[in-house]
Amino acid sequence: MSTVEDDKKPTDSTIHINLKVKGQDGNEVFFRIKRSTQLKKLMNAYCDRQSVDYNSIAFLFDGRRLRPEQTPDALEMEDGDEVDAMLHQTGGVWP
Amino acid sequence: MTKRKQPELAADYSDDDVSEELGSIDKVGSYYELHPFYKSTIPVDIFNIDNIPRRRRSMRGFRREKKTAVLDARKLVGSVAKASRRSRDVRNKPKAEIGESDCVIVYTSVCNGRVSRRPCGITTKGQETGKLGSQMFEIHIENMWRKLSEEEKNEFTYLDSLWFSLHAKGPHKSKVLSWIKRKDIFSKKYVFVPIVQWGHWFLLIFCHFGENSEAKSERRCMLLLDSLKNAHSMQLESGIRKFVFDIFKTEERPENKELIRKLPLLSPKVPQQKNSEECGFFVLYYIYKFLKSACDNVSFSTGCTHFMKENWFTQEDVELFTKSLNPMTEFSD
Repeated sequence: MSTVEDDKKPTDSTIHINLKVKGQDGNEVFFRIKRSTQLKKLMNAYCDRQSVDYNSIAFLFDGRRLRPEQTPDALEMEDGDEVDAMLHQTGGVWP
Repeated sequence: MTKRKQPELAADYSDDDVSEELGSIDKVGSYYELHPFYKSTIPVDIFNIDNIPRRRRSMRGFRREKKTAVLDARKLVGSVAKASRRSRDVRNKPKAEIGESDCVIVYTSVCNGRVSRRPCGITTKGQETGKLGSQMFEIHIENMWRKLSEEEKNEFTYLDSLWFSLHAKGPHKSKVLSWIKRKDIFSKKYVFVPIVQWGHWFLLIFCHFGENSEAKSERRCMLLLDSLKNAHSMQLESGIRKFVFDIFKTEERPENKELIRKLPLLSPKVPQQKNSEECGFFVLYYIYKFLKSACDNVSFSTGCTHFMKENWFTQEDVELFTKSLNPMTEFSD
């Protein structure tokens, strides 16, 4: 086991990143994702885990909306960064 | 924790059951205490989403896999927690075997033992029925901004439509304020603040917030545009005042409290929506028209919102505008 880890360790932090997704209710889900992977994967996994519709959630990183095709690399995310998962709101009329 | 050891059976429980189970996991103090991943010796393949096809679809088979994984995680984390004399901090955590997968859930913490449930009442239904949701709104406004010149971008900015309501809710207040700080709103002439509250869209505009408070002709003011004037938009006033006060405070502006409280909040008469779904598009169109008018060198000053009238534009104009947005609504899933 240790040899496997030793082999992995040097490259792991450059390939993967740990991200925390924080829901509006304060619940947190921790992800480990490849830096080059589109965040769509994380969003889908989160929504499925929370049993919410993908289209009902806005993911904010530093207050900016994440787009599904963006990657941690492109956004220069750092290990331990936090993403906020917020419910989208809809407006029509005064109820 | 009951003994729901059979992974196959686990899939038969409803989501809420699973969440409830998670509620019994000892809360993890902080993310960083979970690190480093390598120290833990328990290998666990928690959640490999490699198998998720690109598009979201019926997740029957997948759900099963997921819940199994979640329950496994629960068992493991639970046992670790027990081992550490039921301490609130779980220092050791199951290690996620990454292998070739791109994205795994390594840990889930439940806040205050509260159970996450399906959100009720808020759905994307609105988008199906023609109401505008905060998702599409952002896409439209981004598109609008892309067409502005650099000069215009220096004069105008907007805040995300979710921020106002997030600020109103406790836990995100300081975060929202730090995001606003980065928008540098005191260097802009006009700042659009779309607000979706009580299922209705409003538009708040900060005018000349960065102007010297000693300037003789005070042009600093706020405009609140509402496409349903019977919607009692003034009920928003206390929320707006609080929002603005917090912004001034966070940015360490020299203005005193009294001055901020006295910032004029004007509610000009503007064209009204005719049906029950249009307010989001009205707000977009107000922004669009305001940008145009301001570019045409109309002079703004307190109380001088002369171009904003009930006949500022016609119903037809909005409908045309709404239609023109449609080609842009292609949203890559």
